[in-house]
Amino acid sequence: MRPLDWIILAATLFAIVAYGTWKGRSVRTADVYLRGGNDLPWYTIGLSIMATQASAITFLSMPGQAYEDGMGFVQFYFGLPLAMVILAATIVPVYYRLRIATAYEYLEGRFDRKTRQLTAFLFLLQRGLGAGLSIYAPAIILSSVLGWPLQFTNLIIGVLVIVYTVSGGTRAVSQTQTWQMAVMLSGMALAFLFVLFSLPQSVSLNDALHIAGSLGKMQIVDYSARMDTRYTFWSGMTGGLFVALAYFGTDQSQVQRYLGGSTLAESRLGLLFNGLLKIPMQLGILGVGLMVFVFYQFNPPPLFFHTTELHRAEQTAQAPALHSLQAEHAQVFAEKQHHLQHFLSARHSGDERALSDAKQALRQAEERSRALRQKTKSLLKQALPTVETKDADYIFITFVKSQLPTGLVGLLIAVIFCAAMSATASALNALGSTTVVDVYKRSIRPNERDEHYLRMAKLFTVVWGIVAMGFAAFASLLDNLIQAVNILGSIFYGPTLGVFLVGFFLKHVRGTPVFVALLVGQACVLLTFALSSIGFLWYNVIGCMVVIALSLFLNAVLPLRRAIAPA
Amino acid sequence: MAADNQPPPILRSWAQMYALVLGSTALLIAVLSLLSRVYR
Repeated sequence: MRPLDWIILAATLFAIVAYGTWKGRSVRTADVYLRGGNDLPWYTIGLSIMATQASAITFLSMPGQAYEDGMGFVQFYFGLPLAMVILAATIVPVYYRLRIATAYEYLEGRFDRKTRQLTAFLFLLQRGLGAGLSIYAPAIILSSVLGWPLQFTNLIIGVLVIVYTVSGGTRAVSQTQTWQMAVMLSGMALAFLFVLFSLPQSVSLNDALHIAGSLGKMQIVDYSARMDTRYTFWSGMTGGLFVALAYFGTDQSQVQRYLGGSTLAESRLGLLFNGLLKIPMQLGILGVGLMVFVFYQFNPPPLFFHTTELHRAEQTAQAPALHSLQAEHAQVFAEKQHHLQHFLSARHSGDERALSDAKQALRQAEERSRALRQKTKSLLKQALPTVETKDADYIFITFVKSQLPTGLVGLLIAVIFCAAMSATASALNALGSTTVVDVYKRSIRPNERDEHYLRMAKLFTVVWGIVAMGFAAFASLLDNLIQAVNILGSIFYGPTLGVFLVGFFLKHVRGTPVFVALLVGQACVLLTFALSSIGFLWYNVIGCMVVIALSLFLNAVLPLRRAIAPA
Repeated sequence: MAADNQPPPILRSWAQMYALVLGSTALLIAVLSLLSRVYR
């Protein structure tokens, strides 16, 4: 990073923290701290909802996912717009009518205290881990690429977020998220334009998409009905719908965003704004990864994108074998250039037969290239047995650092920090609120003054921030980061969604059947995760269905507890 | 309460707003399916 990059990064982070702290200066009551004072317009709510979901992992992992597997990941979001409509039409009006501060408060009125506290506990467990991951995931990548100590990066993200989240609560979080979204979207748009204009002059956007498509990266919609394929149209429309219903309808980090709306209409519009723009935004982020893939068809890519580890391995006894693989890699790249020229000239001349031959040759070269990457990973494992050989999360950041011009590098690093901060701030805000409303005020100190709860909400936010930083300090790299977060969410979301759906739509079902069904449903999902290879999106469907079916069954067979009249 | 829950001025009801969101999504998925066929 050059001095200009540092200036842009530091100025962006300072401006955001200062703005959040300034916006939160007038927060004097627990209600304003928890619910944001109910004065947010729909566009702030919409951007805040999008920023909460868009963590740093989104910007680091998704371009890498498009590079490796193509655009198909976008199908994960296909059920989201329908979920936004269902929530806006059914659940949001109920939350508004009850004037609740957390989603779990609703469950006590509808069922009983134990159901409220169990769902709140499950939320605290999964969001507490999630907050740790949302700090750790970007920290480990940024540390490795920028040469910063991991704990230092953890500390920077954690402390910056705690400062403005604690000072201004929900209002500060939502207001800063609008600016964080502006930084994120403009940074990604500039990166897209830069990579597009970095392609050879003879290669148009249409050519680039044909190259990506020929190499299997443009299979955007897959209508096959395979249960073991993670992303298909059907898994997106069912599993994705259930995830979105659960995440936006029952996860306090999202519920808190739209409960801050000045009216019910503003909250509804905020959710629908997310429903309209989410898929295009994810397509844009995946599109950056796709263009990076095409860029590396014309420019030599590293053999392994986590280059720090590659250089470390070159200091071991495996160095000669690695150098030989690198020589082979360079040769395959040169051959690929030859095939690409054939492909482009056949396309431009409209020669179908030559085009088909060039496509075939290109695919074979890509296969060889992939096989070489695989061999490199095996060698790395021999050289450094503890090394993480999945390098997809390093693809975009390596591209940023090695290819983007001065200034843009600083902006893109700021994008990743902003995303980490926005997701973590919402999580800490929700964790602090749930702890104070559903646990502390409900069960420990129910009759204190408002200032006491405001002070405790701030204290719990700090405590959760420290817990998240502590978890981040000890977490180890899990599979692909974005999938790790989604899997974690899917394990807990289904059963919780089942409880809320029973609450909203099956009015005759009582508290105890739902409570037992939630415990059993959660156990079923954990067993499915441990023992089967079913795609994780289906966990949401399984957990939700088990809870609904079992609640109905238990409600029918369990005797009603009757009040015993005193003698 | 009713005044707090008006749909956007250009629309007559929330149902129209919901149809707009779902219709745009269906159109987008149709375009993406088409792109999957064109670029392969």
